[in-house]
Amino acid sequence: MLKRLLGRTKKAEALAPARRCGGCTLAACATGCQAAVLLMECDGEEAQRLRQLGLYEGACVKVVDSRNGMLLEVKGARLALGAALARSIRVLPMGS
Amino acid sequence: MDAVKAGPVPAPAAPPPAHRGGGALHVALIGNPNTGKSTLFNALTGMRQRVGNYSGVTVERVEGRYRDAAGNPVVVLDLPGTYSLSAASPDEEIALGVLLGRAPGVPAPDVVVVVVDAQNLERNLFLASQVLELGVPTVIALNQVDAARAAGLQVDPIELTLELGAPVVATVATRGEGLDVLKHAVAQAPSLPRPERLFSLPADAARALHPVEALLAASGLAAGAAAMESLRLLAVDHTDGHLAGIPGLAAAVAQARADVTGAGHAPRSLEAEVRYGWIADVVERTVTRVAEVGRTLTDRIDAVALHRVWGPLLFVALMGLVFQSIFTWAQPLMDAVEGLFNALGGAVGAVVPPGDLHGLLVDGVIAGVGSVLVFLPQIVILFLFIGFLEDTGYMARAAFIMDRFMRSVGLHGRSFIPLLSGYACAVPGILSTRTIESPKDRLATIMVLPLMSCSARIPIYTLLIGAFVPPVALAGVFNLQGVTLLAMYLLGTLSALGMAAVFKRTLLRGQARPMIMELPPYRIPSVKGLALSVWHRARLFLKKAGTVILSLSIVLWGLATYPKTSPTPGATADQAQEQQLAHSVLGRMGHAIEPAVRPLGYDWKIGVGIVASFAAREVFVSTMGTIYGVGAADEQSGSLRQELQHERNPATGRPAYTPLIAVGLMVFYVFAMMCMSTGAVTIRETGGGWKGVRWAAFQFGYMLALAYVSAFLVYQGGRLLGFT
Repeated sequence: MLKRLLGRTKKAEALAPARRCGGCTLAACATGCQAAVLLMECDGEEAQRLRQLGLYEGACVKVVDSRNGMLLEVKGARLALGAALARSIRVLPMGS
Repeated sequence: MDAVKAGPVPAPAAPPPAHRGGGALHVALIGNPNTGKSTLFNALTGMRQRVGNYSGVTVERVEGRYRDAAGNPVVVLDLPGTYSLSAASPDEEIALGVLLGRAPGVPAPDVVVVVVDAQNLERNLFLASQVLELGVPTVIALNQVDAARAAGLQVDPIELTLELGAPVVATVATRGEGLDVLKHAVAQAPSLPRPERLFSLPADAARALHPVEALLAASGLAAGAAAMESLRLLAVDHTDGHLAGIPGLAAAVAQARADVTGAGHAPRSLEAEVRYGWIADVVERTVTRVAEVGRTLTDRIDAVALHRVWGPLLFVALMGLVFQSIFTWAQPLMDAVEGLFNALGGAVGAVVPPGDLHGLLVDGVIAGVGSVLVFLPQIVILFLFIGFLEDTGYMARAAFIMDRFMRSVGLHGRSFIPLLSGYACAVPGILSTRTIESPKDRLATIMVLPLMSCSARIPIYTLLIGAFVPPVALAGVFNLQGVTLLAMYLLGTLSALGMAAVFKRTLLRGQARPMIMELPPYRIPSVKGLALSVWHRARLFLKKAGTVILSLSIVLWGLATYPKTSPTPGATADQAQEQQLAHSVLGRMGHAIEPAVRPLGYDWKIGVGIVASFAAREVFVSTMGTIYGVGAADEQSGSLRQELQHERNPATGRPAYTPLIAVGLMVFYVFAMMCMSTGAVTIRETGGGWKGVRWAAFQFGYMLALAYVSAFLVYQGGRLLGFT
């Protein structure tokens, strides 16, 4: 019960700023969700590495697993992202 | 769309990397990590490989040879696995420098082979498209077509050849399929038209980049390379490395970024957008999905391996297996190596008449080198495991699972495996830190790695625990001796993590780089590849440790043998040996440092042991054996244990060694960096030259200080508390 409540609060927090700019953080996306990358708010060097791996503004990614860090499918490859990094990437969910 | 092809900039003709007539054809092999590039390299070159370093950096340079169908020699350079040519990491900088013919000491390649994974064409073509632009003759090895087919994907190599303007050869490196065709394509590549950029930039962005291209071309880059570099520089802030010293380049790039922004584009993501945009079209035309595959094997394994509960459990079980194998399975092999060296010593001893040469060969060279080679089985088993876990694809998952824990001490998940390797030996552990991208994380890992109790400490722990810790049962289950041994390992491990946290908050301040890691599909490793990687690493250990230990053994033998003295009349052989030792340089050194070790409860004899073991800690046991005249002592030696237990302090008449002193001594060896091989590897891996020497000296110094203070606290604190 407590876990579910905590989970909901976390999700609500992550979604809150989304209503202001039409998106949410990648970390807030559930397993199976597809999303288009809007903005990278992480450190420039990390953003650059992600762009080369196919995670750039405008690209579409699929969340494979969101329970433990972030597991994504990007350009046909599987990418593991730290939770903090996933929170700094703003995306537009496109359904699952 | 108003678009122009990034036109050639008027430039002084850069000398194309022409095929050197008569000499070997130079081929550079490049590709993303996990594409089977190294397997392809091994399949092409077999055992004819040379491993070294690029000058000035710790990037491994692997080179091999083969002869093509016409019998011409071909030299293949296996470049580090890289996702792009951004020159953001040392690996990428080297790769780009080599391809441009600007890496010092490396000839410009005549042909580049880009290895792409057929299962993952879209991401792999990013690097390929960058390479193609450089205008060097290029062949694409479309690898793992079998795995792609199993995943329901059919890639058409002919269609892809037409799209890329460079020959595409389908290969399965693990089975050696397609190699002959690949070799033929490589031999033909220099006579084919040069590849070029195949996509267009928005016209306004292309115009904005022209000044940068012109600057680069004026510096001697070919037109294609200048176009590729200018687009790359929009995204990254790296105008140094092979581009260092081009006046006005940074300013021109800044201006180009402003102009691109003014034209309504995002400069940092422009390259990714245009390249991936073009790649999407290519993939659509060349890849056909022939079958729908539901959950793949990788999906099913990952459901367990990355599970919140089962994942860590599986990880702990696997690591337990590794640990167990290092200590249990290696034992018979270690005994065999030891037996071999004993037999060798006996054989040589029987031939060489007693005297200095006998001593030098048997006690110096053979015993000394044997004491290090005895660890080879452990190292080979460890590398076999690490290689297996790497090649199956599990290692990336392990780093991902450990990331959160390692982050709590300021390190990256990738630091975990090198630290684990440290239980066997710090030398390979330090070498395996090369996978850590952040220089600060890597340095912090190297600095704390020798704190992990390596196998060379086992003889010391075993000797002292056997002599001074009673084998009483604790809570009816545990044995106090076993618990003491475990405590030493825990002490080392926890201090390694603690010191890493301290370094990452002070000297090497900085956040650990966030986790970004590709999790490759699981696959069955090739036996040949595994054997080769174990062989390369073991050879490095043998070469580095062997040369150091060999010279050291000779020096130590000399220090313990000279100057000579005549034994007092009536002395037994053992007494004569002890007198000789006391008179020798080593014995005098032990006496000299006695005042320093006295506060730790040690006498001059332990002083000798410590001095002798400064360069290799395991020497402590054999030195104590020499001091107490029990001949060829080892840690199981009952006579040495008894000698230690019965030794009396001549001044007080009380036992010279007490459990408290023994625990203090073990704690000393947990912390002290007494290993010349590790020092040598630290120097090399922290930058070499004076810079490396400074880091190695720091490592030695802080660990010695930690050892001294801890042993002092254990002894003096223990005495205050009333222990003996």
